[in-house]
Amino acid sequence: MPSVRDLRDRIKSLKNTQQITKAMKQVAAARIRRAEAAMRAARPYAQRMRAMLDDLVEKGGKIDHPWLQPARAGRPLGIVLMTADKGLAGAYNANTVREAERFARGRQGESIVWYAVGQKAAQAVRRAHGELGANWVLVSKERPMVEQARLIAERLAGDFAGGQVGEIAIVRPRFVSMLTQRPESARLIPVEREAGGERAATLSAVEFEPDGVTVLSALLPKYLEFTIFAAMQETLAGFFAAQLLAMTNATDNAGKLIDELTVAMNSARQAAITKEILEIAGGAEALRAAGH
Amino acid sequence: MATTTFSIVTPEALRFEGQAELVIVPGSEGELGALPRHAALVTTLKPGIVRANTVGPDGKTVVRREFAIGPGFAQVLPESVTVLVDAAWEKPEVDVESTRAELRALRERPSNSEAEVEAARISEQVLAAKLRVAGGHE
Repeated sequence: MPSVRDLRDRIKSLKNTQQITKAMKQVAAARIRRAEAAMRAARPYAQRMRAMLDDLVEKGGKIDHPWLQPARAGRPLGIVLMTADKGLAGAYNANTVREAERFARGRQGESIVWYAVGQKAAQAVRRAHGELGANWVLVSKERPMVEQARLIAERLAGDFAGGQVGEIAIVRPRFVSMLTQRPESARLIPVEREAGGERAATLSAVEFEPDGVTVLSALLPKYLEFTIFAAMQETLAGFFAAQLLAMTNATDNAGKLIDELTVAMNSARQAAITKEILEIAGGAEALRAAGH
Repeated sequence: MATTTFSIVTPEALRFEGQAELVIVPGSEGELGALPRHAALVTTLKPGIVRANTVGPDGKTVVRREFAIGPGFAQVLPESVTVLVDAAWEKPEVDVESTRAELRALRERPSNSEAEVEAARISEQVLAAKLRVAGGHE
């Protein structure tokens, strides 16, 4: 049975841990509100940009662009793995990495170029595959997220144009709700046409200025940039949600353990006191029996 | 008077959405005015100023709104005008002094490549547009 002092030390260290997890929980709770609001604020842009792109693809007629062609066979597949920079958020990052590995296995036989966004993603790719096409942090101290997204998009577009990759996919966490984040994979380039263009059917003709090809050539890189930006925002919001949950659980568990150990410590202390009294009583009894 | 739904959207926010009688955008081929029931059109935008005669909720008061914008896109449909840009500024959002300083710094900075010259030219146009919206142009 552990001594009272051992138990007291363990309780003390648990209380320290609990204070840290409680602080992290509060930080995550404060940040998630902003991250989630930013994510929601980007939705109108996403919807309108998609509508514009659909109009272009549907109504542009013969306009063509390498990004709208089927994937180029025989060239490596680029996979962008996106996670948070930090851990302590349960299985949030690990789940996304696992989904990426599953996705890569599904494309067996193809050579793969890995791109990592987020420090955890970079670490995971280096550990599993050794080499990395390029990597970026999710939250940079030097530049806002919009610009970070632009840098990433430029690199990906350049690699696709240069033929280093023939197709690019992304694996990242989806923010389903505060309690649920689910990893998801999707294709970035070639750009997939979205099914069911109801609005396009109502229009007979769309004019383009200066011309369809120019508009499309400007819009597609913007679309990629924004898709990456939106994914980054979602990854960050999901991270805070996962961390909030993980830290709430950790704080609760530490509390439960502290309670249990306190009970154990009290009974150990009581046992020690009882033992001492017994010894004293026993001693007194012995003296009395000896005839004093 | 008939109106069209005018919206100006950036990746960070829906900056404005409401009814307008007329919207003028800086198209890459020149200024483009869109009235309600305009033919469907998609155009690239160059840095400049988007002007809109917006109609208040009572359907009568017309408020002129101006936004300085960077490069982007506009989609005109018979019933709507949508402006998609990286960023947009209205008058109160522009700090004239710091914008002027930025513009001066930009003009003094040497450009080493064609791409840099092009990027500097675009930044200059954006800054100039911001100053014009704020009424602080030289």
